[in-house]
This record gives sequence, structure tokens and C-alpha cells, in this order.
Amino acid sequence: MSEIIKTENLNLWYDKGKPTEVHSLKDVNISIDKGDYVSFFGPSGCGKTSILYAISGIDRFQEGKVFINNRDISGLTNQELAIFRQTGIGIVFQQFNLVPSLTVLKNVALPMLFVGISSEKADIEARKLIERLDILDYIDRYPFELSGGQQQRVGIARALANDPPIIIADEPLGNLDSVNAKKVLNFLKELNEKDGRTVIMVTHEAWSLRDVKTIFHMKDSAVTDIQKVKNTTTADSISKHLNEQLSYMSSSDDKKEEYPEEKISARILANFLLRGYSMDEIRRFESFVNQRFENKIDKKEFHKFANMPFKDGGVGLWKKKAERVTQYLEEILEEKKNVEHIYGVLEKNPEMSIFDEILSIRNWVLEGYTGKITPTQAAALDQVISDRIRNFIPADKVVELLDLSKNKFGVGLSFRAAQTISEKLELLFSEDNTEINTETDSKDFEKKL
Amino acid sequence: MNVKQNVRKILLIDSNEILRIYFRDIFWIHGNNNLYEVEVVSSFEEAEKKLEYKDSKPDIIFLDVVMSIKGAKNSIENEINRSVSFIKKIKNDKTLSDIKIIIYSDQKEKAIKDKVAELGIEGYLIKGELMPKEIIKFVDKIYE
Repeated sequence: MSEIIKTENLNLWYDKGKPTEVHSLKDVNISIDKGDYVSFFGPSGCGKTSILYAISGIDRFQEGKVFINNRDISGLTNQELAIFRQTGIGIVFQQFNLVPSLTVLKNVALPMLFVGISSEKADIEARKLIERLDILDYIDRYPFELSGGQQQRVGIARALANDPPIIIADEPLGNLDSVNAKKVLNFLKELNEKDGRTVIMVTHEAWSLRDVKTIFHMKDSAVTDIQKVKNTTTADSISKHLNEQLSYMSSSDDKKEEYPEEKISARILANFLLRGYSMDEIRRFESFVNQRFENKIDKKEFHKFANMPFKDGGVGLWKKKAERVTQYLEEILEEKKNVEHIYGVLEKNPEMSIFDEILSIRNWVLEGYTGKITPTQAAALDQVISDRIRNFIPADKVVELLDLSKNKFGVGLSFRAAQTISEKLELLFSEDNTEINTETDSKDFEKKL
Repeated sequence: MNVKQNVRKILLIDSNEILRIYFRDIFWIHGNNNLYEVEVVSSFEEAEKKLEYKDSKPDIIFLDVVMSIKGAKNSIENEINRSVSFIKKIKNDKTLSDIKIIIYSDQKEKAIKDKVAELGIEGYLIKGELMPKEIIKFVDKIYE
């Protein structure tokens, strides 16, 4: 059987060369055959998500190579990687990551629009996928009208949009009850056995490995063992590793000291507050949360780092977001830092994911715009907003992209509209005290603060 | 004879960079790697260079009928005429006339389709109407 994925001496650091450096993947050499169903399995923080992100081109690795169908992706440009992710890989996320303003149909069709497939054709293909996932009854509903299980099925349909040969599932069962979790596992099995797709799952729950054919055990950023699952049941064969892991987690030896509760709290907070951001951004944010917990930096410094551009060593959050998360952190610090408490705070006061945030910014910049915006244009506009708030593109590029025709993957607005929207967007970043004076919007932001 | 006889050589001419990346990815991701050799260029000039050498001469050329060129007079009519004369040039050259030409465009107008249909092209595909695997299927059929 031929290999679809191969890594050679893969090394990945977050914040390499900085005090916050984390060596997240150490000399990983693996190969995955076409049509295999594999899992990266190990305790929290062992590097399993990093490996997914390296393979799918989301995170840049500094050393080594990743081959997909014999082609090394380490030399690809950001644009090439973005298109590779749309065509080659379907990702199923733990938090579903659906676009709240789009119906089920449009959510599934979206990745097709990104590669230039017409909206009519995309709707036809999306409908087939929705039917396959048995959610046709909900095709015109919005994500908030669906249960978690239904949303995850939409997430799977969307992952299949451009018919990718590789499916990556990042803790896909994390937010599901056991009935829905089993349905998702059955479906992943079908994608592997019936469609012949290569399925890669990251999990920390042993029971979800039941259909997996190859298990890469991970610990401390390295692959420690490769296990081919044959006739014995998966549960039996992994019990040894599981026991090791359990004793590791519950032991009171010095290893456990590396993961005091504060660190776990920082990780949970970072993952939650920066939902939808890249691992690089989340990891760096986590390190600042840790420093704040340990009182190595004060509130003002934390805010500065959160807001500072990523390339300069900060997290690169845009102004308002940086303000909000700083405030959150202070609230948590004032009370306790334990995990339970954090869940309590977050539950009362849920932070928006980047997707909701982009939506609220989009609605705001479009206020007063009288033209019609198609779903494709809205999606393209969201992309521009996301790229801008994360500082991937400079201000002048925004006008260009908004004005660029739809056929060229721009938004296709008139030059005048593009300029107005871009100016409005820049208000969010201005250093002076220009306040956003749209009533609904400032209210919205106040609510979050 | 070409040594790599079994390799299917495909050339895409398109001025849109994203489309060029996407097209190459389709064959990389979905196709059997050893079977297809896909080259992408952004202009007719670059394409002509590929045609000069036996080694880089493609079996199939995909091209858009409407592509604007920097510094040239760009109107739909001019752009179509440029594509038409490129196709004619290939069809009139004995060493190149066996190359299959496929229009790969977003232009759906019948008048445009009619204009290129008489040039002896192998197909007229609308970009937005094909899923990645459908493009591969189309190519595979040509070789059957």
C-alpha cells in the first residue's frame, strides 16, 4: 500500500527562541498508508494536536519534512497551504466551528465556494452530503437551532465538501453525549471503510479507538510507540498504555508537578478564549496567561502582549478582544484559579469564538450598506476581516480585496463601498480613543466586557 | 518517442494564480502522482516556451478564453481573439496539432462557445461546475 502522509524528523516549536518557547514535536518520523485509520493517542499536551496541525499545514514546523502524496509541503506558500487545506483535507473540530449566520446548506457549501465552485453547483453537492449524514430535515436551519450531535454531523458534511482523501478529526467526540459520539464513530468508520479515505483522529479517550487500525502513542512531544491493531480488540491492546497513562496522571511523583492546576487552568482558558485561532496563537497566549497567574507580569503588561502583533512576540489580538480577555483573566485571578471556577466564569459569561466575532464585525461594517451581499460575498468578506484582525494583511490590502472581483476570490464590492468598509474596519485598530459609536455594537462589546 | 510515454502531460494556462494552484492540487491530491505531470503557466508566452521542447510538450492544454494581460488592450473581444489565435496556431502546426485543447472558463455565453467550437477543441468546461474529481475523470476519459 502506498503512503499518503510521511514525516521526516519533524520538529515543531511554538515561540522558538523566546522565553515562552515550547518544543511541541520532537523528531517525529511516521508514515501513514492510504486508506488507514489512525489515531494519535496520549495525555493532554503530548503534542498530538500539533502533529495534526503540522500535517494539515495550519502550523508551520521549523525542522523536518511532511510529505503528502510524495510532495513536501514545507516549502509551500501560505496561499498554497490554504488551498491545499481546502482540497486535500477535511477537518472535523471538537467545537464544530460552524458559521452561525449561515444555514446548514450554506455551511456545507462554503468550502466549495472558496475553491471557485459556483454557488448553484455547491448547493447541489452540499445537499447530497447533507442527505448522506441524515440531516436533510435541518437543511434550512441555522446552527443555533441544532443539537450538538446534529451540529457535529453538519461539521462532518462540511469536512467532506471538496471530497478530500484525508479526514482529520480533532477530539471529535469531546462535546457529544455517548449516543451521538457513537454515531460519529460509526460515520468515521464508514468514511474509512466504504469511501477508502484516510482517517486520522486525535483523542485522549481510549474507548473511541475501537475502529482504529494504527495507533501512534505519544508522550512528551514524541511518538513513543506505533501499534498496529489486529485481531485483539483495541480496548485490550491499549490497556497497557492506558494504565501507564492513568498512573502517570494520578501519581504523586515529581512528574505531576509539571502540571500543577494553574497550568491546566491556563491551558483551558487559552483554548476557550481563543477558539478558532491557530495553535501558535493559542500556545503563546497560554504562556502569557501562565506568566500572569504566576504574577511575573501585571495586568497592563498582559494586555500589551495580548494586543501586540504576533510577529513582534505578542498574540496579535485586536484591540477590543485584547481588552476583553484581559478583563476576564483579572476576574478569574481575583477569585480562584482552579478549573472548576474557570468553567463557572465562562459559563456565566461565554466569550465569543472568532467566528461570532467576525460576524459581529461584519454586521457592523455593513450597517448602512444598501447593496445586496450574497452568501459568497459574505464569506469572502469574513475572510478579509479575519485576516485583517489577525494582522495577516495590511490596511491597504483590505480595500484591494474588497474591490477585487468575485471571480478572482475577492468580495466584489464597488470601490467606494470597499473604501468605506475598510475605513470603518480600521477604526477597530486605531490607537487613538476613537470609540465605536454604533449603538448596537458598543452595547455588544460592553456586554462582553 | 518520448521516454516517459505513460505519463499524462497536462498544461494549464490561466492568469489567476489561485486557480493555477487549485488546478495543480487537484491532480496532486486526487490523482495518482506517477500518472500525471501537471504544469501551470500564466500567459500564452510561457505556454509557447513549453511547446518548443519535446520534453515539455503537453498532451492536453487547459485554457481560459477570457484572460486579461497586463499592458495589453483588455476587452472581452480582444481577450477571446488572443485565445482563438493561440488555439489556431497550435492546430495549424503539424508538430503540435495532436495536442488536445480544452477550454476551462467561467464564460457560459453561447456566442463564445460557438466561436471556439469550430476550432476543433476537445471540450468546453465551466470552472464553477466541476468538482475536483470530475476534472480528473474528464482527463482520464480522453486517454481511454
